[in-house]
Amino acid sequence: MKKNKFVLTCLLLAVSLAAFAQNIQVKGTVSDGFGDPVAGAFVVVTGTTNGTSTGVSGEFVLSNVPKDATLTISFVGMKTAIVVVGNGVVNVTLEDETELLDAVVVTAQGLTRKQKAIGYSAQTLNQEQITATHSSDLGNSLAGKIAGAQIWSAGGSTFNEGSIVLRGTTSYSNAAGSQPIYVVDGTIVEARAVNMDDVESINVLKGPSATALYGSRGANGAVIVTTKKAEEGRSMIEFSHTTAVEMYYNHIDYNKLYGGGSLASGLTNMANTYGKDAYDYTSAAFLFGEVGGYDLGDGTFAMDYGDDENWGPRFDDKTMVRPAISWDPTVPEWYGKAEPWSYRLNLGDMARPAWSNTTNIAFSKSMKDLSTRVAFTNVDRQGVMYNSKAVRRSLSVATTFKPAKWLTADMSYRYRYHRNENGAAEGYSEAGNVMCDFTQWGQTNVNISYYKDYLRPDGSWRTWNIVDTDDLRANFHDNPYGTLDNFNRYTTRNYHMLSGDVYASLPLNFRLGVRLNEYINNTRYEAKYGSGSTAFDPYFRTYQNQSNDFTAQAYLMWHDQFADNRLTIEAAAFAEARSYDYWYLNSSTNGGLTIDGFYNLAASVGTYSTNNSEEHFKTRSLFGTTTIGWDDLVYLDGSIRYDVDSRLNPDNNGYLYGGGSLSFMASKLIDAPWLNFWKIRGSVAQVGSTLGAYNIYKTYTVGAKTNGVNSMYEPNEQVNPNIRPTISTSYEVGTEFKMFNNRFNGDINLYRKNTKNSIISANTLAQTGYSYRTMNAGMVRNEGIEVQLGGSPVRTRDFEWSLSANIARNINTLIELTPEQDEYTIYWTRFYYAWYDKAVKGQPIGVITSAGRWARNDKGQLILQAGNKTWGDVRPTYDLNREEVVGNVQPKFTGGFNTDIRYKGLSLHASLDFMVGGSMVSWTNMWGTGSGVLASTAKLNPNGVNEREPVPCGGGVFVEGVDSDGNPMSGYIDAYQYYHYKAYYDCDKWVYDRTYVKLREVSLRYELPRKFVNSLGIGLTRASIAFVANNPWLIYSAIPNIDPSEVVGTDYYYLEGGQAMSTRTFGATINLTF
Amino acid sequence: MKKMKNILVSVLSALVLLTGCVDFGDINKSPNAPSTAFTGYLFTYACRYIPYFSLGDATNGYDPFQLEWTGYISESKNNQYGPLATTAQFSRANGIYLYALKNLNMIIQMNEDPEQKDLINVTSFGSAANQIAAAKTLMGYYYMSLTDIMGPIVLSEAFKGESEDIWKPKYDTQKDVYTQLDAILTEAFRQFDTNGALSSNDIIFGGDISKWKKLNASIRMMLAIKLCDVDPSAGKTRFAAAYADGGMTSPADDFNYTYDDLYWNRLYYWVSPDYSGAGFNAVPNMFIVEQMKALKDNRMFKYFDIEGYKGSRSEASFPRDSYDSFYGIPFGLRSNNEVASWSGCCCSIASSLLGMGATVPIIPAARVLLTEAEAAWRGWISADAKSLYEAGIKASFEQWGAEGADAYIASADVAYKGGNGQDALEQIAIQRWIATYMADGIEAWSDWRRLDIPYMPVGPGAIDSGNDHYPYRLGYYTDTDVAYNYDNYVIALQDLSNKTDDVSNRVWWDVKDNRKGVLTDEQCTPPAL
Repeated sequence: MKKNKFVLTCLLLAVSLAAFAQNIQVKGTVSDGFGDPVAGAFVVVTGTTNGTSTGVSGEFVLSNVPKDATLTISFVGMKTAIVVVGNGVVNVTLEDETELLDAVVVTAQGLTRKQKAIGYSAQTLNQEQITATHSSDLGNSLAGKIAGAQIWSAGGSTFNEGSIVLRGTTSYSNAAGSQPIYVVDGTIVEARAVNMDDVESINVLKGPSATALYGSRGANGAVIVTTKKAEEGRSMIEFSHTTAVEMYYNHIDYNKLYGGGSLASGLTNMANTYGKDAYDYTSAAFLFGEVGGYDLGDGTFAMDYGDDENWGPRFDDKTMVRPAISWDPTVPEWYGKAEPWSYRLNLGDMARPAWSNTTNIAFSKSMKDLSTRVAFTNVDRQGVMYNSKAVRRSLSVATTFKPAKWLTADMSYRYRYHRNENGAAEGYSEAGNVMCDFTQWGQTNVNISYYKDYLRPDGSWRTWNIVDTDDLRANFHDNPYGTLDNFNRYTTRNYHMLSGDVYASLPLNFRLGVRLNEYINNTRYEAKYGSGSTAFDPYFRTYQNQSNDFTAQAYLMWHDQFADNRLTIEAAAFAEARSYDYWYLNSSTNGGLTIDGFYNLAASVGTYSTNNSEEHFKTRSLFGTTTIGWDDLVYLDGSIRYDVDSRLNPDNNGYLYGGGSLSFMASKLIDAPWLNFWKIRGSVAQVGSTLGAYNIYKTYTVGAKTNGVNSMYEPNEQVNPNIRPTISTSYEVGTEFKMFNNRFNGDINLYRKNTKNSIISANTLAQTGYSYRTMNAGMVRNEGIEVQLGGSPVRTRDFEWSLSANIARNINTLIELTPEQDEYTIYWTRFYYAWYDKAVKGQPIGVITSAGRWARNDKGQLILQAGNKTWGDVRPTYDLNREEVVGNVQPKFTGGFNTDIRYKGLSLHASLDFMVGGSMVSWTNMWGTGSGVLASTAKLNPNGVNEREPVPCGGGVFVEGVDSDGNPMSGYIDAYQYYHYKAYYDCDKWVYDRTYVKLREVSLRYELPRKFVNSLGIGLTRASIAFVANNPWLIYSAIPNIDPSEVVGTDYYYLEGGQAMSTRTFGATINLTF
Repeated sequence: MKKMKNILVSVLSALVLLTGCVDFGDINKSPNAPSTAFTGYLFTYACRYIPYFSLGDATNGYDPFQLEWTGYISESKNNQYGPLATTAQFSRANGIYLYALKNLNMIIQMNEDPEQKDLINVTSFGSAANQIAAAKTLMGYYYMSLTDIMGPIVLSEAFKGESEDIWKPKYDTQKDVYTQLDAILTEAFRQFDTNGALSSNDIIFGGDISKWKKLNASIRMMLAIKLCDVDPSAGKTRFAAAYADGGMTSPADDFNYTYDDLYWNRLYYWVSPDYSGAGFNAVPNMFIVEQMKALKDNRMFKYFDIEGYKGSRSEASFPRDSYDSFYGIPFGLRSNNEVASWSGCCCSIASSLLGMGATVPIIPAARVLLTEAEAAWRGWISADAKSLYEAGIKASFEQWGAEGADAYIASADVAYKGGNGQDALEQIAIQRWIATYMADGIEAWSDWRRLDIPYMPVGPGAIDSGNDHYPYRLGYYTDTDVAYNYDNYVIALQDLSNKTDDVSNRVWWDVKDNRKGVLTDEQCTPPAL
């Protein structure tokens, strides 16, 4: 509908100057449902280009109108009216558009179906809902907008695109679940291959009923992207530009009372030895002067720079301490100088305000039988971390023409260049993640910015963590600026997406066509590590891979109507052949580089390593679908698919699945004026999924050469030649409604999905010869409810306020694993600590267990023992090799909330998303506690004394518990001992609830009045300007010091090992349409 | 319904066939991995797990317990994590089973399989007899190390998953393991054919069968000596037989491992390009340095580099040729601060052991000679303990290129005391401990557990976290043992002294707890320089 209006608009604009003689003049007014005049509505003589637009009072005058003509009157957001000219006076009331009533949505395989006819959940987002804030990433722009979607995103410093998972995980080995497929012009691509500027609308298909036609690849849902096309009868130039600045967003609450070093690590012992009043134990003068022997004799102190913890003296502006840089004779402005002992750590010093520019320009023209759109987008984005940036360039060409009256050819080519330079790494890594050096370790007295000029004249690096005053090398931690400058990783991806679709319209409503889709991805990775660091060797690695994914389809479609048009039938049948080819080549140097800065394999000190691999497979498929409708009241839909797959045993490589759905228009039977639309639907479907190539026949892996000779071993997973595809069965019932003149709408959905016969890598004992055995077993169930409610409580012509909210609960359960095995370990990490992530029968997948803790009784009370000189009053006891369940990865609820307020051309949009429940382990909190950098390690105790003070002086952490006989016991524990040993041994305490609420985006947009825009006479038809903010506010987080919504970098979505920098982005966008 | 489905599948299959493309040919045969195994290549890969027992490799984990619990090395920068057992679980055993023992097992099977034994992928490595014997000898070494670490292990039912459907194998008691290993190794010794050789895929001895035979006899002696407290008669018989077969006698016979130049051979954090510079995370332990200092042992200058991680030492306070210039760091200190206080004086591990392509000792001849000296001391063999003792020391000096062996042997504390008293045994044990510095740490740890020599009090940090002695066993069985073979696991624990799965349990041949003690404050305080 909307499209037609645009067509009219452009027709009018194009020809409004043309005059036609004869006939009569028609006058009239156009008003809305409130009786208010509609200005700017288009009035055109139906079937001609003769038209005009209404004035401020909704009035119009149109000459040259044939007496027997009709007028077509349209306005954005309202139903188009067609009225008879009659006597020359036409007063029209336009009704609000009720989009869903006759809306058509694009479903699997590009088939279009009426919204009414769909018997499963399909949530559509229009362009404004997706890109209100002009996010360049598809994943992140879906956050909070899709009921039942879990959003996985990462800090802006990583350039991560974000991804979604629909309706929970179906895999026992992956607690997070898998992404849906993203389909652009019929080609299945990765989310990051999609250029958001090409997106017209998105339809999210959540269940197998919707996606069965995509076969095994659609098992986790599908995101169908409809791209912008040239609008019929119109030439258009669209231009947009966004300039934004991205800034560091701090989540860390640092210890601002006590500084670095570890001289305070034995204070309770000292105070017990020398007496509580002998010294001011936590003073810098005592610790640096008496304990450390760092009194420099001139009223200043040195300190234990080589330490990377924060168990030093309390801050004191009057004590002068030399920073590490003051020992560097090559820094004259600092050499020999001291500064007051105070808090100086600011992670923001490692970041910069990062500017990005996004420019998009698109040209489209549509003539009779030919339309084309060409678009180009360029994104240049600095990273907040120094020496990081991202580039995205996209080109797309889409054209449709009719070589003959009965023949239509569609073709599109999309290219995307995607390059990341040094996106911040996550996790516990000295090199890739410079944040870790200060969030898990560090000294809060360090001013990082002193070290910005990191190079000494001799090429070595300056650092805050020097070994000693006469040895300026890094003890543990490099200079972060040096690392950022010299630890270079570049990933360049080239995506080519080609689609062609040619079809012939045959008699009797048949359509016969051929589609070709190819998706080519070419990736090049380079790692170039420079010299000078103590944390990494000079190194060069490069790998390249290419994949070609080619699908050819032939299809036959047919539709017809019978019984006075009450019975409608739509059917389609497809034959498909897919071939997938992948090649990979990887090389890296070993043992350093012979020539500094020469990043080439030839520079390898040791023999360089090279390996390569490839993968090929083919599938052949037949599938079809039929929709039968009766009287717009009931629709019955069925689909079926048969796949033959080269990855399966050739003796048994075909499998069949399908589904059906029913849609019932209840509102058709209820004649209530307040009920605009009410649909009840239900569906059942199966979808298969297959295994990777080369998993049927036994092979041997060729290992790296050792002492010049070949080596070989058998992989640790026993292959199974009889493996069969996984089949998921899902059931779904739901309802959609719109009421009160569309002021209130909703979509509620209940589903259950059983994933059976998963292809399982069952654990076995290494002693048997294998660690894993491939088998078909198990069942994973996901069941839940998705609720989407929205409406417009206030709607007048000038002012509208609309809201939409969604919430979903998915209950994931591992019903069965294998006959012999009830649990599977997804991932574990064990040192002196231990956390496991498991799939356990009867539980949601992602059971987190720990195997060590401070001993507690059944009531959770600590079991304490008597203290000693070092510990203070009491000490904990340990329980170090007993596994206990401490959490689960699966969230309880996910959801989002969106609101839009529009006043005339001004609109304000805000979107937030939340997650309730789910657990994760946080190493930032664990190590940050153990190393004393967090504020939580320097609180006041019940004595009103800071915990950091020695126990005999009233300090220490107050602990309550029981003794081994169960009698109450309490007392103070030396803070260093308490927090150190808590970090190391009390694993249970580092498991957190990951609930969060996040304001994801806010935008304020002003659309210039069309009349004004048109009156400029430069061909401009629309103009708007918007101010946008992305990730402006983490409103609530149940985990201190990190952002639980940015967890892509965690290990298996359960163990956060050092979050990359979070960012906020603020920008301005201008949109012009000619 | 089922019938309908079958009909439908047939119809659809027929339709797909009509498209003419359903035969996918060989597309699912992997281009990345061959479908034929070569015994020589399998052998090379099996050898790659040898260094785990000494210096380790890239996947060794953070702490090389086998060198820490024997007084060889210590952490130099961190607070040493209080408890001794940072390596809580012996998960590395899984890799040894999957890729070392399994490969050796496959070599034996392929050489015994009439259909495969004459194929080029088998014969190219050498004669069937030599392949089987070398595979069994190396297998014996791995199994010995595994059982000495854990106690009961899977041996008789190992690798019978696919062939005999045994997916929950039983653990053999250590006594049974020892009996089986002696039998396997003895049989292998007889199978060796010195007229033949193995191909260059034997990266240990370059195909030299005579050296394999010496290694074989040496391992049997190392097994037998451990029976001294639990089954001395079997120990004596087996030892004597192995001794008669002839073990290693000179450094030319040494069982070494040479890292190739693909990777740095460095302790963890020195291996990965991400962790180059934490290079001095491990430095010599105070115990070994002080012991050698006390004996004025010239091998010090080969074992240690004078520069610690705090850079160059001034020649005035640290003369390079002085025993007194060297300091090690105690293990088990309480805090970073205490550890850091040693940084001004600590020495480091010799760079010759840590470079790319370095050759590191695993079982040097000195160990074998000094084990024979112990057997002679026990009266198990009719040989002169003194001459074996001295030969062992000389072999070690020769191995390291150190000077002054004769003067050393003649020095007051080193000169062999003779007789069958504990003092003579202590001399033998101390010399064996010194001689196998940075070699097979498991074997050195076994010596300490069996003889309680040298005396090693724990650090105060260990006491704080509840450990009053160095472990007698490596932590726990792997999670897979517990989760997927629980019934057999419970039975296996019955073979341990406390019948629980932890570090305080002694293995079968270890009959008593070692002396307990804590480092004194004086020992934990660096010297004033």
